[in-house]
Amino acid sequence: MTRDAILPLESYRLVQYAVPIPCYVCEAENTYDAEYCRNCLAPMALAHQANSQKVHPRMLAVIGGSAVGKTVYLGMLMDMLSRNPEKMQLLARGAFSITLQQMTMAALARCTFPEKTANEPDRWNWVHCQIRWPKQRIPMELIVPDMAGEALLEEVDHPHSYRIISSFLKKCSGAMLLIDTVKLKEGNRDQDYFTMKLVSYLAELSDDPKKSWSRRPLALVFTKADQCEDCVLDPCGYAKSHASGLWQHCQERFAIHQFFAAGVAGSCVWRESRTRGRVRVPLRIEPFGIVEPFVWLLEQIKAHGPARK
Amino acid sequence: MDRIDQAIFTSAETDRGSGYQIAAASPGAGEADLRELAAWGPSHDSLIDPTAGAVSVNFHPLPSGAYCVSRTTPSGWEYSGRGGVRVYTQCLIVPRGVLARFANNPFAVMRAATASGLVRQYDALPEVLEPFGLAGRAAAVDAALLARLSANPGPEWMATLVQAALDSVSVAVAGGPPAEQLIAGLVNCLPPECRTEFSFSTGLKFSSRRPFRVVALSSHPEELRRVERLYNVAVLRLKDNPPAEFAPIESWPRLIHRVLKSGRVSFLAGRLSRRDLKISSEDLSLWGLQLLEELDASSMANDVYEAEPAANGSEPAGAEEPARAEARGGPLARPVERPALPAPTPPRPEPQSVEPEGPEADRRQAHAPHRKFDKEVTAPTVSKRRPDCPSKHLDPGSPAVLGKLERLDDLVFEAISGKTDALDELKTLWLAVRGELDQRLVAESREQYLRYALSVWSELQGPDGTRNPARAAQSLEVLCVLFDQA
Repeated sequence: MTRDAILPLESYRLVQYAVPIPCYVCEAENTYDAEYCRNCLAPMALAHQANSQKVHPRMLAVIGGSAVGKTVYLGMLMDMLSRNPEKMQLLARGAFSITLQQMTMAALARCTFPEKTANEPDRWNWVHCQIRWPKQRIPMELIVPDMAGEALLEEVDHPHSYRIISSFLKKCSGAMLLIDTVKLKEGNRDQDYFTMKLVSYLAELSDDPKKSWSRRPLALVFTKADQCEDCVLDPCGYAKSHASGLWQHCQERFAIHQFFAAGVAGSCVWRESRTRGRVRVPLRIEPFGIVEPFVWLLEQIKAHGPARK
Repeated sequence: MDRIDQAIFTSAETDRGSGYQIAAASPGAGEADLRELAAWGPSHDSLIDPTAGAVSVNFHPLPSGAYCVSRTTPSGWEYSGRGGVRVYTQCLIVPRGVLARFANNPFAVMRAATASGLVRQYDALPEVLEPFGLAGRAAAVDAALLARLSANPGPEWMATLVQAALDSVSVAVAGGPPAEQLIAGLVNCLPPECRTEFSFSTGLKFSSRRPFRVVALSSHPEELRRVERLYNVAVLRLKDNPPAEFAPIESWPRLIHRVLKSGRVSFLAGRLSRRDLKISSEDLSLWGLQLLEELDASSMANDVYEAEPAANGSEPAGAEEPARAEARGGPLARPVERPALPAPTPPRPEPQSVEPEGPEADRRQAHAPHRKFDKEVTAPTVSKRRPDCPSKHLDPGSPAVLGKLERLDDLVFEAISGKTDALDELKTLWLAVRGELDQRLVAESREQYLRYALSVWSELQGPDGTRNPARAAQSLEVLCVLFDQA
């Protein structure tokens, strides 16, 4: 006896293509099976995951120049928060969210720094995570991409050359701006100028005073601070003396900002490698000041940041 | 002469910033073009093969109407100390007129620029790059390349590649011959007017930010699967059989298939060299149909002479399969005829009139050509000059020598068309045949082959009066074999 069964027509599978899925970053419409947004190249997994949740994720930007340490900072931050549930627990959502942490920690374990982040947005690592506090019932969902410094520079110099950057920064609830302490200490003013460009770009992103960056929290983190004791002791004073342009911009344009100092590698040396050329090698891993800027930013977002609808 | 501006996209520390950027440029390069170059520029870990000596040739349009022909190579190490090779791209901003001189073939432009020493890696990046002029031209079709690709991956795959390129937004190829040869072959299969619509990269990793129409893929399975998941990208794995979804159903891919399979690359070369109409990709189907008919007609005309019945009704000795006749690769739709040999009777005089009569007249085109190509169409006629092939003067009682001479004819035609293995075999066979012929017949053979070579040379003239030096070299080499060993 043949049992009846109801099977959808093969052609019915095409119906799914009739319902577009908007990208979570730029809101451009894409097909349901698209891996990357056709407009901004953000992973569509973010949209699928966000649609399945009641709490919509907030977006957090970690920006800075090339080789300032964004990848190392983010990877170390994810690793530390995922292993320290007492104060704040981080849970990765989606397998792709663990790639950055895995890559960073694997490189540091080999006494190397992670390779340079490519400029192409479809090769960036994205983190979608859930932050839980022990005494708070409602978690916070966050999306944090690891963007390439050159892409940021290109977008700042020529707006809309990287659509994903402009779309993402417009919707961010807060940002972390990384500054290379070593270059500042050497007297290289490029870091000061670049960060001034970035904050100016942020300030001009939105015309609406209610949604402008002047009301969003901005954490300014001096990276590689293990090589500068003055910076660790007084980051704000260090900024005032060594990055005066940036300090002045922040005073005038960003109501909610704070300076921090952070470091990951205790000491670094140069090594000549036949297969990799002249590479910088961390002799030991001594992270400090990694979590504090992030905690401060989240607290400011909860208190002041605009809620995503 | 139009000047070619340059730009270098690589990782460097400049006044503007650090990292991958336009590190140097010519003063004449427009701002919009430089921004486009920065958008397309490959950054860290963009090369499929990061080893020393790897090269990627890239081509894409620019906002100004010019085109970027660039070469990407690994160059030293990443400056920031994070390891990895530095990716160095030298971009040539080629005006439309200059590209047209090279038959819209970016590979030809890059070869010419490289041969002139204008494409090189700078150890210390100059502040300003000087624009330069590029002399020279290129033939519409590289017959030797197409002959190689006919052997590997074969006419079926080449036709499939053309079909996929016409149908798809992006085509990614994996496996098979080197990507540079394969993509160059694809370019050569297209009319020069259509080539600028197909941007390509022969050695950069696929990225949605660089929307090349034709790209090469590494053989890494994960990369293949990743790209296959993307829409609007057709992945062709050349180690497998050609996919049915890209079977050559349109006329142009079918034409390519016919041309490559029959070895009549010179037919394609002649047609692509002579055309001066504004052909776009939308016209390819029409023109493909037209050329298919011309190809059929020229093949049939060749068969007509092959199949002329003998006076005594016997099967003509010169009759052979149409495929073999087509494989001679004779001049444009004018194959060299070898009239049939009557078996017991002396050779009959060959008529000079060349218009086929009777049933052969019905084999002409059954309909008038499309009005767009009307001016270019000539009624398919056989050659008005019929070289007196040596084989007809032989004693028909020696079929072995007859066969050798027929084989000699084939080898001479194929060698002049560019087949290197035919030349090698010709050298051996000529020695053997020459010893069996009398001096009069040897001289007559040489004369007829010389006439044929000259006819090929005179007919393969481009619209601007230039000729393909490679074809001349091939003909000369054949003649050297036939004459130097006297």
